[in-house]
Amino acid sequence: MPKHTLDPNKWVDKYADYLFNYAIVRVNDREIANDLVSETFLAGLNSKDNFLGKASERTWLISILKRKVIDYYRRINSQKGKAEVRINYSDDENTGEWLEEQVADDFDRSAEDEMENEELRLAILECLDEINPKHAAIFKMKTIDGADTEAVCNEFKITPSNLWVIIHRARTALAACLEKKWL
Amino acid sequence: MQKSKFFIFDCSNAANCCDKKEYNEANVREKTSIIIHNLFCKKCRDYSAKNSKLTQLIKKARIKGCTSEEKRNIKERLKQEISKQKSSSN
Repeated sequence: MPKHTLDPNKWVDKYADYLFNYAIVRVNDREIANDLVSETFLAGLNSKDNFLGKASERTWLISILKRKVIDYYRRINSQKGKAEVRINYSDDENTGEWLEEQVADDFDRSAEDEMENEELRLAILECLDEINPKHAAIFKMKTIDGADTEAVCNEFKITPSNLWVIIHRARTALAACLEKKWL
Repeated sequence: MQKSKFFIFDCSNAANCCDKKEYNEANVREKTSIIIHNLFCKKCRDYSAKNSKLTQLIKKARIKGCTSEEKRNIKERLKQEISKQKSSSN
């Protein structure tokens, strides 16, 4: 089995989205998820000498992130009881029944669906990690961020016809990969 | 995709329009042409089905990405840390 190596300069481009998706499902807050991802990279960098190369970079980073999520919950649980709980809006901008709005949830969403969605989400990101990095970046911007064609072309300095060729290749590669991993 | 001439498009044009359709960027002429082309071409019919399935899966997954600014911030922090480590090891 080949020995894995670490390349911290590429971590953000390669793994930020994957780690972010992993974190956001667990903490349900964009800002906190971002902080956790950032802390994971820094912790990874500080303990890179402990990396034995037996697992892939991504697996190693995920294991650090898992610890960070646990630490986060330990931290907030230790603050339990200190938080102020408001049962209604305290400002004039928001009106209505706070409680009703907070508990309202999609009636057809179950825990199983959520778990399946998370697995699917990570499978898609893993597959994107396996295709050409430039194609993956363009595909993410166009498909996941929903950027319009002109914005993507300007960002990557490509023509619209190039963009569609790249999108086609990325979609074909992604479909083939997901067929193996998911379907 | 293999190039073979069909009613309006060759297959590569049809695949291109099929991709555009998934992003709601195909015009009426392109949409109609794909339907006609797919009537005659099994390969493109399969590709269209697969392509729609892929779009559905991506929507279902509800992937959330870091924004470019968030990535830039993380990169900056990481860069500073790397240079700090380099300077302390020298």
